[in-house]
Parts: sequence; C-alpha cells; structure tokens
Amino acid sequence: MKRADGPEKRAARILVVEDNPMNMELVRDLLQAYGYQVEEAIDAEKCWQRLKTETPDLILLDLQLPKVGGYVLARAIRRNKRLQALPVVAMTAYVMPDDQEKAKHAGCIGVITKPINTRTFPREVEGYLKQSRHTGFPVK
Amino acid sequence: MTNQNSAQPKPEERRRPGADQSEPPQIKTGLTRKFTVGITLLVLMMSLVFCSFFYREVRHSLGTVIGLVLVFLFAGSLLALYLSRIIVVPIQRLVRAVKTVAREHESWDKSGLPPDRRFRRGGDLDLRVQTNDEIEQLADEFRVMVKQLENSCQSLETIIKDKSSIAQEKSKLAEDLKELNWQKENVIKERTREVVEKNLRLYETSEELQFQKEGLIGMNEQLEKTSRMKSEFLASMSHELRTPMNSVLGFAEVLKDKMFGDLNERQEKYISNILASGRHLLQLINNILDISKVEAGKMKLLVEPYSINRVIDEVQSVIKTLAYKKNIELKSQLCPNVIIHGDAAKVKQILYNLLSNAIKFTDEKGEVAITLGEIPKGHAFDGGPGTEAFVVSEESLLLQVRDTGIGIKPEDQTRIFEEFEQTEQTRRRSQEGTGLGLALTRKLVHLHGGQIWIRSAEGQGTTVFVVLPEKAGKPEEDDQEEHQI
Repeated sequence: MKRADGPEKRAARILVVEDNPMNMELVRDLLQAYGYQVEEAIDAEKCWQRLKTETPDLILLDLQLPKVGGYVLARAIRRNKRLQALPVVAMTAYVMPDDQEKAKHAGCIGVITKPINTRTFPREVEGYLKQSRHTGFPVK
Repeated sequence: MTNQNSAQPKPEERRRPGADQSEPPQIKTGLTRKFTVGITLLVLMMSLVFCSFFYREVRHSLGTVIGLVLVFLFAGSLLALYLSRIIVVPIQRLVRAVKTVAREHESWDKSGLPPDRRFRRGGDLDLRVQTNDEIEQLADEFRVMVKQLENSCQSLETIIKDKSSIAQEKSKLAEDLKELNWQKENVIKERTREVVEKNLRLYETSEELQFQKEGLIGMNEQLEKTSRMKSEFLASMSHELRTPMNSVLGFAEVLKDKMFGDLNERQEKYISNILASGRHLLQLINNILDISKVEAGKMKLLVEPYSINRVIDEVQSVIKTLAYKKNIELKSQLCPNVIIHGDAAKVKQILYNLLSNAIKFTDEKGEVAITLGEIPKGHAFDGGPGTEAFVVSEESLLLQVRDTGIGIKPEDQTRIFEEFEQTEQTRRRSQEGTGLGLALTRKLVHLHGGQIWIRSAEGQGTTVFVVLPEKAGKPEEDDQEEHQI
C-alpha cells in the first residue's frame, strides 16, 4: 500500500468520529498507513469540543453514536459558520435508501457503508477530499 | 210462472192477480139500454106516424090501433134487443178482452193457454166476433195487437231473463273477482312477508359479512403491521450484525494483505478461513437485508437501458472460475444483442444466483447452459411448481439456466423459492447456502415484473426459466448502494 506522498505537501488531517473502538482502530490504522493524519473522537460531544480548537480537512462520521446522534452533529457542523465548508463523510451500516437520503440531507457530502472495504477505503477518502477541494471547500 | 221474476212483489201487485180471478171484468150495459130505449122510442114514433097516417081508416077501431101499437112495440123491442145483441155483444167481448189484457200487463200469459186457444170459446180472451163490420175488424186488429204484445212481452221476458242471468253471471264473476282479489292479496302478503324475511336475512348476512370483513381488515392490518415489524426488525438486526462484521472482515483483510508484516503459512490459512466465513456471514446478512427491503417496499429498481448480453458476459466471467474448478462446461446461446430496460445490477444478481446454484448442484464434467430468447407479446407459458400458467403482456426475454445436476425432488420443487428453505440435498452438498438466494432471486424477478419457475426431475438436472419484460418498471432513483460480497 503506497503512502500518500508526492504532490501532497502536508498530510491531510482527518477527524474520525466512531464509538466502536475496534472499528476506530481499523479506520485509524488504514488511514495512517495511507499517510493521513488521524484525530479521534468517540462521540459527538468530544468531536464538538475538538472542533472548537481545531479544524480538520475532513470528518469521517459514524451516524450511530451514543447520546447525540451523527445526524444531529452533521447538522450542527453545517449550521456553524466557521465550519460551514468542512466536508463531512458519513460512515454507516444502515443501508436503507432512506438512510442515505437522510445523511445527505443532514449535510454529508458522501456515505461510506460498513463493513468498509479495506482495499478501497483510503482511496475513497482521498476521493472525497479531492471532491471537496474541487467544489470549493477551503483547505484550512 | 211469470211471477217468479219479480222477487219482491209489492202488496198491490200481489193482490191484483187474486182480484182478477175473483171478480171478472165488469161490463157496462149502458149501451144495450140506450139501444133498447132508442129502438123502442123509434118503433113508438113510427107506430104513431103510422097511426096518424092511417087515422081515417082506423079511427073507428081504437082498440085495433092500440093493439097494433102494442104489436109494433113488442116487435120493435125484440128488434132492438136483437140489434143490441149483434152490435153490443162483440163490443162487450172486446171490452172484456181489453180489460183482461190491461190487467195482465205485469204478468203476461197468466192463463197458461196457448195464444190461439185464448181467443176461442172458453178462453179468457173470447173474441168471437163475426159481424163482418168495423167491430170484427177491431177485434181482428186487437188479436194481432195481443199477439204482438205477447211476443214483445216474451222477448222482453227473454231479455229480462238474459239480463238477470247476465247479472247473476256478473255477480258470480264479481264474487270470483273478489275471491281472486283476496287470494291475490294473500299471495302479495305472503310474498311481502317472504321478501321482508329474506331482506332481514340478507341484512343479517351482510352485517355478518361486514363484521367478518372488518375482522379480516383488522387481521390484515395486524398482519401488515407484523410483516412491517418483521422487516424493520430484520433491517436493524442486519445493521447490528454488519457493525462487528466491519472489524472482523476489515482486520482479516488487512492481515491477509500483509499490510503490517508477513504471516506464516498456517496463519495465512487461518486468516483466509476467517475471511471466507466472515464473507459468507455477510452475504447472509445482506440477503436478509435485501429481502426485508423488498418486503418493506424499499427496494427500488434503477431502470436504465442496458445490453442483456453484456450483463450475461460479465456474470459468466465471474462464474467461469467456479465452473473451471469443477470442470463444468459453461455454455451459452444468446440472441443478437438486445437492449432492454431494467436494473442491470439486479439482473446481474439474479443471473449470478442462478448460475452459481447450477454449478453448485452439478457434478464434475457436467454442463451448465444459459439460453436467451425473445418472447412476443401474448405468448402463453404453462408455469411450473409455485408459478401458475400466465400470458406475457409485453415483449419479454426468456432466460433459461439449464444444468445436468442432481435435480430437485418433486416435493421440494414448490418450496425452493421460499425463504430459509433448503432441500436436504443442499444441506448435504454445501455449508455455504443461505436458504435465501432463490427467495431473493424470485423477489428481484417479480420486482422487474417478471416470472420465474423451474422444471426438474431428480437426477436429470434442473432448468430455471426466467421471463423478464423488456421494459421493466418506471425509472426511479435507486438506493445507489452496493454490497460487498
């Protein structure tokens, strides 16, 4: 697996919001192995705290979170002026068409279904990063 | 006999016939008297004239004169009597007859004699007048009149009789009519009662039906609710199962890909086992999810034009490796490229399921063939176990997947499309089956508006028939998701 180097001067920072520690570990390891800088938050509250002090390049958001759900967090990010341009990609094991619609409606630019394909996952994330840049999302 | 018609004779009418019998018509004798006096006076005057004329000759014999006068007087009286007889008697007879007839006006023919006898001697209308003058003519005319009167009376009586019989008839008819009316009313009453009873019964039946219907609707709602709950339960179950599967498959894949270092041979084998079992489990979960999506009405077709031949080629290239492993010949007979409208991904899934099943149940050196043909509108199919005969309503494709495998027992043929149904043969043959593949396949075929059925004999292979409309469903947004299998 190649490292994300070359044209990327600085490794993009990705904030992963995931309550399941094992899934968190898998995503973190895969993204790190690909060369991304990974930040972790185990629930919506922790994520919100982090977003007060730092702005990542992309958020990978599990929609099923304890207490405050992923949809609520996504909408909160969209409503916040400072974070308006921050791309949020949902991760969910909910695969009903409705769920996808709901995620998009809440302000996610994409949805990655679980279980993730470890071979394509990092490239998927890369694709969303590029897409957000092309569509005018500022890179910090 | 004439009286019987007057049912209630008035007292005076009753008295009259009796009066007729007790006092015969009184004949006035004034005429006779006048005649006699007249003739006598005439004879007296004539004898006086005679005496005065012959006075000179007879004056000396007064006695003779007186004697002569007396003789003349006597002779004149006799003459007068005779004359009065021949003139007055017929008139008297006429008068009597007229009176009799006049009193008979109510009841004609009381004497009971035939008309001719009545006019003869002894008859009550004795009209023996042979005076050869106006009186005889009068009597003759009277006879004629009486006869006519009699005839008239008789015809009148006949008419009355007829009338009364008509009246009787009429009253009888009226009674009959009354009877009929009564019967009619009874019948109507009876019918009305029957109708009312029937209505009542119908009403009761309809109430009962309504009640049953409501019960059924309630049951149906309950069933729908249960079915929806089941689907929702399965969907969330699948979700809950997919979350840990994320870690299982993810870490196994990472290890197998040696992303973080090498593995020894045994470790690699174990990781492969974990991955294979994990993927099987995921397939099971995905199938459950798909079926519950179809049942919850959430599975939608992404309809677009596509080449069915290309789809078959793609599936074949995946299946080829499976067939190759078992040394099974994979044949295909396609028709010239057909572009159809449907959900290519789901048709691929259908084909993949059918072909992998065919290979799974076919022994080494067997044969699996896929045949594609176009079916015109109106073509009739007999169907098969679990699918009734039908007629295709639009241009369709007929896909046949034929294998030379172990076949399906007749008793299993109807249940193989049911969820979680596996034949004994399946269980023995593979641990991989989910019991959902064919159920899902059938649901996907139905979603396209198609039909699927099988024809099989144990030990002689199986043919699966799939009829797919060339233009399936309405173009709708798909759920845009893909399952990793």
